[in-house]
Amino acid sequence: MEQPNRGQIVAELQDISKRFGGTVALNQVSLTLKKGEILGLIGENGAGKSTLMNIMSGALRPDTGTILLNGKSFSHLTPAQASQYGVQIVHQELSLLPDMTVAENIFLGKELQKGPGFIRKQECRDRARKILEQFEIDIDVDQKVAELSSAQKQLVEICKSLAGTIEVLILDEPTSSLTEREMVSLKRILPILREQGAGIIFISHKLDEIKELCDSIAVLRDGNLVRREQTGDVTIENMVQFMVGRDIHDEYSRPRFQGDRKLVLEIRDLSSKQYGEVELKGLNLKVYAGEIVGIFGLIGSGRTEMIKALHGLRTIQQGTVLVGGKQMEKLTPKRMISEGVAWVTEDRRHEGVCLSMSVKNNIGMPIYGQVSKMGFINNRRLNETVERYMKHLSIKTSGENAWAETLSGGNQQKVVLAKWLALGPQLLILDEPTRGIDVGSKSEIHRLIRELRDEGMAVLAISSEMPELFSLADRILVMRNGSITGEIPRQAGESVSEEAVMKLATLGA
Amino acid sequence: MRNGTKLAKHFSMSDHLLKFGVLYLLVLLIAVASMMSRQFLTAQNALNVLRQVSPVIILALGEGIVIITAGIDLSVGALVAMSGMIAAGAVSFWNLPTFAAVLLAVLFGIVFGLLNGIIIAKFNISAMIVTLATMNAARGAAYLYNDGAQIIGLPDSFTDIGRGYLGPIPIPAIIMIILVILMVLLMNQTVLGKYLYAIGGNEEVARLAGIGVLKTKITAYAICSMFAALAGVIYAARMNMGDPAMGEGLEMDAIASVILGGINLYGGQGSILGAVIGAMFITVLGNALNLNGVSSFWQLVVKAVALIVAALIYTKKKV
Repeated sequence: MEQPNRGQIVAELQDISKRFGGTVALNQVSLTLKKGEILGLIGENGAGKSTLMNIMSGALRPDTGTILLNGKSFSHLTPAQASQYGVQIVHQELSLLPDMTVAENIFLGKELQKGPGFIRKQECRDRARKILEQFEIDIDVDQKVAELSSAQKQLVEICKSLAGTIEVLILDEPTSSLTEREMVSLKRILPILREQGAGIIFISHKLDEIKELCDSIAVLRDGNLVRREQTGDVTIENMVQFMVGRDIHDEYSRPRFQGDRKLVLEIRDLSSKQYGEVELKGLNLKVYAGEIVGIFGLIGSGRTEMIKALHGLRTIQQGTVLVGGKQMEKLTPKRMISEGVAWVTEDRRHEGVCLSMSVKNNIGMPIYGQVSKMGFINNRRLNETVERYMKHLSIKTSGENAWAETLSGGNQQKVVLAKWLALGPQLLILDEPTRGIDVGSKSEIHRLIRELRDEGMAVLAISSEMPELFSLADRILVMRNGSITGEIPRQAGESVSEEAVMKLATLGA
Repeated sequence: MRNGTKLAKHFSMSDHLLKFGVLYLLVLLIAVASMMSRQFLTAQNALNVLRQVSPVIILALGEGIVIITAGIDLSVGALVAMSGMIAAGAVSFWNLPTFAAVLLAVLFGIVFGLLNGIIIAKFNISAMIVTLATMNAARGAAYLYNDGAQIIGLPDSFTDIGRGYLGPIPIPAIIMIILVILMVLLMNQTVLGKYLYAIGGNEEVARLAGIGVLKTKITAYAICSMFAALAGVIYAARMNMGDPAMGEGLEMDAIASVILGGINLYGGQGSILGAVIGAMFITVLGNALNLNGVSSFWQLVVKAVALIVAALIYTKKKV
């Protein structure tokens, strides 16, 4: 094998900037990657990590800046170009086609060909099998991806990036749904690729993994590259400080609600099984007025599935749901709303806001019935309500008639919150309430949630960000494999260890 | 162990029915039709049906690949009329030899399809709207072509395409069989076939995998229109005329064939052979109703019901 020129620069990003609507996602970021280097790219959610990597792999076009691959300069790339120059990416969200086989997915877009466009099927299957064997992964290459478990899919996703030539391999949070055993496979493959001279960029929130696997780190904060260090020179505590840009202190404050501690939501022994989804096994849960219950769980733990089941969006085998002490006969989103349950879903762009509608119409959507008579909307009352919530949540827009699309992520999320708060719910369910929004809006939303709690609202908050739960929740429930594996109560001034939570989430009680 | 579950999955009844259901229905339909009419199960009628079904299958092949990319093409029926007019005009007004006339019509089809594809894929406009518009444009052009009149009196070399035989087999059937073989190869053995499925499965995933989404989609519409143009030539040859009113409602037959054949209306799934069987079902159904003296107006209603029921069954399975 030819000796790779270690230390030679394989890829370089120069002054990359990117805006989404009003939000600056990246601000003049420059980054170099050498052959045989494993670079850990870290930063809080929304810091711009995925955006930067999507630009490098051709999925997004930068507004300004240059990309250099092996000395060749590009103002932007297409996915095909990036792949051709050896930039392979493992996406954070799975990009597999469920109806195609494992081998077809691995070679999608890079099929081995003969004659006029014919596929060398046998060769593709053999090569795919070889790649899987390299990982010691036991998956049949002829199986359809739809039949795989989520961890297996993640592995196929990684293998997909190994089918072409690899100069730069980008792994965007590949480990979130991998089990311990599959992590071992990954840890074996990275040094092999490094020996072959590939530059590797590894994005992860698990800093111990970064520390273990990476040669160097780059830290993004609010779209700026703030640090570039050798891993040997920094501790995990340092990394956390770089990411947050401040010393972490516990923002948690105890609930101040003085009223009746009424039981708002009770789930008894809820079991739900549905093909291809996480099974819920006998869930029990109570949420009281004036408290924030946090739920932590990794992907595949069943946290979102639980909320869906609660709204009747999954088949329920057994279990009882009580809202405000009243047993729910039939679970539908409409019934839950009429019982005062508001659900802010995790997917803001698809399930939260209507991007092509005005802020006013977004907020007004659930309350049209309340502000109308005989089907005619009382515009004065509607405007009053909308204005009140826009002010209360300090939504920054050019006006109530601005399209939701033109708002930053943080303000869009506030619009979603305003929409549900306008209903006056007794229980607010938040699924990833601050995903992908900037730090400023994040703390504003956190403050708002605490205020609501202090006014007596019951809040159920799901988050995959531990710091978020630590600063918000009065109790943290940890989910794993469709059950609740533990509860961590909070005491003011007493800090909770992330390890304890992660242990419950990964290993169970 | 894994093999065991895999086998079990393979032989699960509902999957099996979904995959081959329309084939069983076709057999059932043939059995019922044979009992209801003595003329149905005769060699004469079989050949007649084979000739009838051929252009429908050709249309369904093209419509099938478009629907596999999660698109739709409503313009095929009108294009049948327009390409029929072009071919008939070429042999009758300009005295072009038959092969040149056919080539001209097919080339027109390709250009028409490229236009559909470019507007849809490049400018990202709904395929439903674009082809609804071009359907009307093509129908209008077919009427304008000869001031609304039919073009009659075509040479035998031309009408043979629709009426002739090679041995016992009708020539349209031979053309159809060749195209079916080509399309099965295309969809299963070639990169283009995989890309059509990939785009229908998830366009963003396909784009990120470096697939030329634009080019592939345009190709799908071009093939679809090319096949529709060929079907138009066959119809014109069979009727011995170019008729601007020809092919009215054929888009319905093409789409129904595809959906009956189990191709997912939302793209990414289904076999092109399914569309072939779907087309057979639709045609045999029409033939059986004809032989039993059911009016063509009722046939429209029966086909509509069949389409809705098929869509219902396949959609239900998806959930």
